Amino acid sequence: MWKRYSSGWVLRGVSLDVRSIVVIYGANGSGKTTLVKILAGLVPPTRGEVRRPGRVGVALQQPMMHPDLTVGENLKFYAGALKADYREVVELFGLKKHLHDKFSHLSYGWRRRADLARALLGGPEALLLDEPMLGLDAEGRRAVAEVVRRFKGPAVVTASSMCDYVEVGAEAWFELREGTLRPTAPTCGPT
Amino acid sequence: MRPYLEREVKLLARSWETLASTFLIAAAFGFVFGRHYAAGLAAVNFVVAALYGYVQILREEELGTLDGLRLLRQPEKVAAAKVLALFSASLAASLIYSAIYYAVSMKPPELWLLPPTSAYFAAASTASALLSTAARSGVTTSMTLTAALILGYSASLATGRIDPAALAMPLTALLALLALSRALVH
Repeated sequence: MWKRYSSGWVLRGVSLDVRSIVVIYGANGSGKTTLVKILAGLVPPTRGEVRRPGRVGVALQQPMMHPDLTVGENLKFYAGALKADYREVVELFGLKKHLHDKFSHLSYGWRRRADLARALLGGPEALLLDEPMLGLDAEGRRAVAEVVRRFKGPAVVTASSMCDYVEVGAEAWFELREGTLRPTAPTCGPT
Repeated sequence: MRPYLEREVKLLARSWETLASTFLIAAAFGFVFGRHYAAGLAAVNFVVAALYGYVQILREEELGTLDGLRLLRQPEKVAAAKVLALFSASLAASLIYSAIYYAVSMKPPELWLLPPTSAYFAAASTASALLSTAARSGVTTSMTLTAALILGYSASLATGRIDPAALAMPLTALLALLALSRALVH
């Protein structure tokens, strides 16, 4: 896949075959979000193609839940559209106490959690998570790591810090730098 | 379809500032256009359709919530729910305008003009907003497109009688919007 914006090339021949959990590490502005949006089908690649296994659960850094609706109303809408039950994800992310809270009134960490719950609704066949642990407390990070670890299917998780993502049990790690992907190994600590 | 409609109705109801401005604009136009019902009706529908086009669609793009709807891969339902919400808001504003017009002028409003006018303006505004989000442009593009799309209909309305071609426009616009929704929402 290749992607060019008016500012220049962001992705230069990225090729990825995802069978299980893959973590893509990269610095801010390296193109991780663009890559996730292309994989999700939200942004078209300039060149290349994406083959998806079926419905993909996607959580970007900017939550997709509407701020004027409550957490429950948002989840109920997506569950209704997908003909799914939202109680399981509510339980999984401990959202019961926030179901009647307006989404915009939640802290950033809880908004991320609620949006991750939305991404998991209806049992997607694949997962795309853009820095899912950003802004989460220890409990939230543990919940995300467990969800990804237990996920049965291909999952792409992006990270700007390696330490938090060691727990997700990824099969492969890549670094996105200068628009290309290179295999890497997770390191934790000062680099 | 039901979850999509429920979502739009909730969003309409939550934005009380927009509801208040709709009421005020419709009432103000009722006073201003006491002598020409159809011209005021076009003005009310233009302002309300543009306003709700922003609140229900363009703002969703800014917030990133439209991406969530795109991922559901049901663009026809999204477009239909959006246009229905805009139609309801435009119709409600038209009714307020008509009531004030009647109170000020003591002339009976031509209520039969309401459904096709609100339907056309809602379809035009929804199409403009979705087109500008698909093209990654902004509010001004949407406003320009809406203004261009309503020109012919408004001119016809201002003559005092709508010809058959203009009456067919709401349905044509609606069908075109739904046919284009896959390209516009995705």
